Amino acid sequence: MKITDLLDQYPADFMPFPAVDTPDADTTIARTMKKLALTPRRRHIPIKMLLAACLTVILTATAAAVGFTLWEQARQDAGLASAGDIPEYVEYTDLPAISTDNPLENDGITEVEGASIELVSTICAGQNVTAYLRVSPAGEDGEWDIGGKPEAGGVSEIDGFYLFGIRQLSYDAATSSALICLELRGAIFEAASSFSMDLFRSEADSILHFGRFTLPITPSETVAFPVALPLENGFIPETATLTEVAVGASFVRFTMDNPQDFAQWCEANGGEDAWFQMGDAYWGAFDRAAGQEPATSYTELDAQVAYQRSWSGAICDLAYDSAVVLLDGTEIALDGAQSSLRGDDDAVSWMTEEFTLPSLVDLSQVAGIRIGEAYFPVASVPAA
Amino acid sequence: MDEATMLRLLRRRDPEGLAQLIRRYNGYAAAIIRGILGQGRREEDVEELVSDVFVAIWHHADSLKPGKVKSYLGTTARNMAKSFLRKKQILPMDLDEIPGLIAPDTPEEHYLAREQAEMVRQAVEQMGEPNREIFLRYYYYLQTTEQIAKDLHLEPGAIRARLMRGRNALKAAIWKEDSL
Repeated sequence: MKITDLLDQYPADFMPFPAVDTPDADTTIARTMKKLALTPRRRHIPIKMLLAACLTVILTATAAAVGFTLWEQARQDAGLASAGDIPEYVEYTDLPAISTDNPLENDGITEVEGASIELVSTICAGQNVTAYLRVSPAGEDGEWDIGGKPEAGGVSEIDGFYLFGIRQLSYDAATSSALICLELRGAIFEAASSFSMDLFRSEADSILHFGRFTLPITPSETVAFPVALPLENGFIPETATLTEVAVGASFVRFTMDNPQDFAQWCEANGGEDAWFQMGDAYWGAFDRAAGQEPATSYTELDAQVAYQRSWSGAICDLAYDSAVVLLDGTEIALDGAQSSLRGDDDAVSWMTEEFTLPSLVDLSQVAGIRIGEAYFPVASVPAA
Repeated sequence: MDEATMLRLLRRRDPEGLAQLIRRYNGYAAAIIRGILGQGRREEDVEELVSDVFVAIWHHADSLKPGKVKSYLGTTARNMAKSFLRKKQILPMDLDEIPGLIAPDTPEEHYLAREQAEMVRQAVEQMGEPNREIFLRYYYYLQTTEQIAKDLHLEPGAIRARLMRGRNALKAAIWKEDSL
């Protein structure tokens, strides 16, 4: 037996190769999703979005070099032309310090002396919060993270929020500070007035703690369109109802009510036999499409996941033929928009799929929403 | 997004969990694969193998634990790159074999192979530095003696001598175990 084969189970705890940035993550995501046939939730990037993203990257990368202010860099990242365009976008021109020292009792964590976190701007829209922060001392790049015990003003139960992303946009060597974009998601942000967490940066052999910071969560508007459209499941002969479409400054949210949750559907379709029926309908379809033999048995978990994703796909099918219509007649299409799913987990008695808009929208300029061939104008929304 | 959240999403078969995992570890997997495939690699092979690593992660999400993803991913990337070289019949080191060890086939042999793997891990851990690093660079990451010599600022002859010591230590550990 070859020595190299003896090491197949050896944990890769040491790596001698220099870091690389090719292939880029988007290339890997696209290729991996394709192999896994994740078409119902695959992220397509329309050419316009791709060009906009490239422009943003170029502008951001060069922002510090050509003297863009922190606020200009944040606006470019958010896809805004100027401050004041969108009420949900709030700039803090006096750069308030939002952190406090909060030493953590942990051997693996190093406290950063003289750390500072200042607030540049925020976007609060429904369940989505984006914050641009100036942090010092920092380096040219960094792997940032948040942690610690979360606290939210005005909310007693903290549940269901998560860190969607955290990126370093630029670095200013003169002040040793970095501009960080922090993206959070969760239902608590619809009710909270503030949110507190700890900020960390990972280094090769240690974790640096920059203290605890508190973000103000500002109110946001949502335009809701009550609808009653049938949602056809593309994998099993079932129909649910799309009950509402809501538009926020950064998202469009589709809400589905399902007359049969997973347990009820299984009971109506032969109990455990339904697991195979659902698993084969969903996973088998992808296996056959890939030229592979489908599995001969499926677990309850396989069937649950297939049930959930088949409905998610039904919403996406409808959403990808939908658009937000503005007063000047232009449409912001949802085709290919990145989406995230929420619901009552395994039951699937209801579900929301939230699609991120390619750029922020001023809700006062929204005329209505087109869903397939149906159009729902803002004027049709009953006054609250 | 922290690793536990990513794993929760992966187990729920939410593609967002996979996308976040790729954003975090894409560069790490790519570095291992590019390093092992070496100078003559084709970029499309690297891209293909990197995505294969994440396909494997997707299929094994239920068995992954927070804090262990990077190690699992690194091992998977290394093994996939090695298999690729073997299929292309360009895997080096054909002569470095240890006779008498089991290539697992039956369930019993798989059990014995797991014991062997643990024995090998312990033997490598006991080699001491820099012998351990040199051994892993050569047999685990398939670097050439010339490349290792360049990276560690040593003569190629010194690398070969230390590799021989590593092989002998491994054989001694295995034969000692067999004789018990």
